[in-house]
Amino acid sequence: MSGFVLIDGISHAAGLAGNATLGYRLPDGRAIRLDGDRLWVGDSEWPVIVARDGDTLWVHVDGAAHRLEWRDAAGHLAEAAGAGGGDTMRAPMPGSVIAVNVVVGDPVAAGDVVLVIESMKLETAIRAPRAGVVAALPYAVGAVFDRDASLATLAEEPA
Amino acid sequence: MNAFDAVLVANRGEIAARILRSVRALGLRALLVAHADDVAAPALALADDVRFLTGPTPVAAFLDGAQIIAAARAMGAGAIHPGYGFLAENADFAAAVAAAGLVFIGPPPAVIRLMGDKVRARNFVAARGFPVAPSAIEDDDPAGFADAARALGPPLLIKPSAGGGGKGMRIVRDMALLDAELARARSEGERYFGDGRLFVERYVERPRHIEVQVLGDAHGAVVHLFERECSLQRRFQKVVEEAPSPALADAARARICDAAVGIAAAAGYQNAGTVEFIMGADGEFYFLEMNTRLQVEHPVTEAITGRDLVADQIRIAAGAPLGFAQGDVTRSGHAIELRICAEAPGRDFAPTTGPVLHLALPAQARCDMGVAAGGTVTPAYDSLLGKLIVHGATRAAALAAADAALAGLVLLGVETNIAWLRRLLADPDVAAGRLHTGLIADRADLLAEPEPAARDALVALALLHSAEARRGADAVPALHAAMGAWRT
Repeated sequence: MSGFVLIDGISHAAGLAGNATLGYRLPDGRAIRLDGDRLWVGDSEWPVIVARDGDTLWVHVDGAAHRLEWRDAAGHLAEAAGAGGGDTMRAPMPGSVIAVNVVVGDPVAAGDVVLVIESMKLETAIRAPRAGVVAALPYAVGAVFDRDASLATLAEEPA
Repeated sequence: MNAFDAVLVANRGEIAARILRSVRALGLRALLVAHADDVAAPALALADDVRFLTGPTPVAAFLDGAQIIAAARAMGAGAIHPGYGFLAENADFAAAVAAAGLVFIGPPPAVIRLMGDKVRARNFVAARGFPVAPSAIEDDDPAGFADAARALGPPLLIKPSAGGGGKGMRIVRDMALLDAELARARSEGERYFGDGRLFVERYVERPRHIEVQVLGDAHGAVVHLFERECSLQRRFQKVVEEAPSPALADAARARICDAAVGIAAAAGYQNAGTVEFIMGADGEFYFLEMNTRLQVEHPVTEAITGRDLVADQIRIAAGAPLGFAQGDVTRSGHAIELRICAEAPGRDFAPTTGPVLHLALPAQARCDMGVAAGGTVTPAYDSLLGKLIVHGATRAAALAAADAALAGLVLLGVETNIAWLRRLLADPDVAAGRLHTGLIADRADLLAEPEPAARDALVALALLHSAEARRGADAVPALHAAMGAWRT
């Protein structure tokens, strides 16, 4: 089994050998084993506290909390391909919309403020990543959204 | 005496829980208003009775003074403690509480009004001979204001007259940007405080923020409880506070504490308040503002003086004399408070939200928490989740205790600033007490999360979890879909 582990959003390649009966190993041969709140990696023992929220694992180890997500190789590639397209303005944090400066069909220049959001008393301007035409504005003033929600979409750039 | 036997706390989060503890310790009935979003918060378990507030937003509910006063009367409260934020420094609310026949646990409305107007407060303090920041000018003549500010020369600090908490404050070093910065500050002042008036003062470079805790009773006695240093700030918001200040020798400490008592006494101050100063590298200090309420960082003062400031507030509001003199106030050791916030330092401190899946508190620290396991952090309020307060014989001992407390605080389900706080405390300048309010902004290299030493352990854990999820799902097909990405 191989894929990628996102540790606090940073991708790390990961592979697993062995099986439940004989025990699991990392590709470098170190045995790994979880017994309650104790994790062994080779000869090292790590006390861990683990909680799961959907597809996210939260782990407290070595005096710090970390967020873990698992991606198989195919999912990881699809995600990497989707990034940097520049068509979608995603919410950097959860919050609510306090101003929408455009309507669908409006042309915008790169850097134009498309909408303004507020989260925990902090206002943030959401700017167009490139020039284009606004294709979708799913949230009206007052609407609430989660982190990474698509706040606005630009249409394909004219050829 | 304004005797009362039930106190309503008109606040939420960690401060609501902290106030309710002292109300109970005094043998009074502990009452709370809350928002339905907060049913899992620790404060609710500490209250004898709770009423739920409603409003267009949760914050609006806590700003609805009429609704809060009606709840207080319905619950049989004799007094209202406003905490900090929300209505704590709203003179009209304090007056309305009194008009309803209830006791407002705080200073008289006239003092709140005086200190709430930053220009009036500054003039009041200057007129009585206390030091204020050099060369301030105010915006009573908008046409000539920009010219007068330009004549003052850089660096300048623009502040909203009605401001507080760092909102709308701007530093101007390039005078070509002055007009644009004034326009922006004016619009922020209008938006946050409903008042676009500004004032401008000479900006003290690399200042320390030092504030003095005062207590005044209804009989004219005013004492100080020493100072706190709150120079570790980001965007003018305090992050780490300590007492005493590592920058003050005894003579300088006496001067700044005496100035605070003088200012509070001149204003006829009653109840707990804080006189804030900025101090330049030359050791000169200037009045900044007076906060007419309990401060977030009051526990460090409690830790070094052994007093319960909320109990003092309640007794003073009931009309009791302070019961002790300045000479009776002593201090021992060094205390540090760490603000635990739902925010991502690596993404410019963007607020974070999520469920509190697991919360375990360090044993060797005072933990004033506003969330509990099973609760949810929403974007409705500010990002403060709680505070850790440690006390040691020396500053070095307190720093070591602070690091141990942060390492022992387990909070899973929401990104927090905990790991960054540990890196901040380990900074050589922070460790040596060489602090100034721009230090955090200067140390952007501390923001990014370094690769964890436990990287291999984390990867192993993810692999084991994924493998186990797949095995479990294969054995029980109905669970397969529920396993999500982990069944891979």
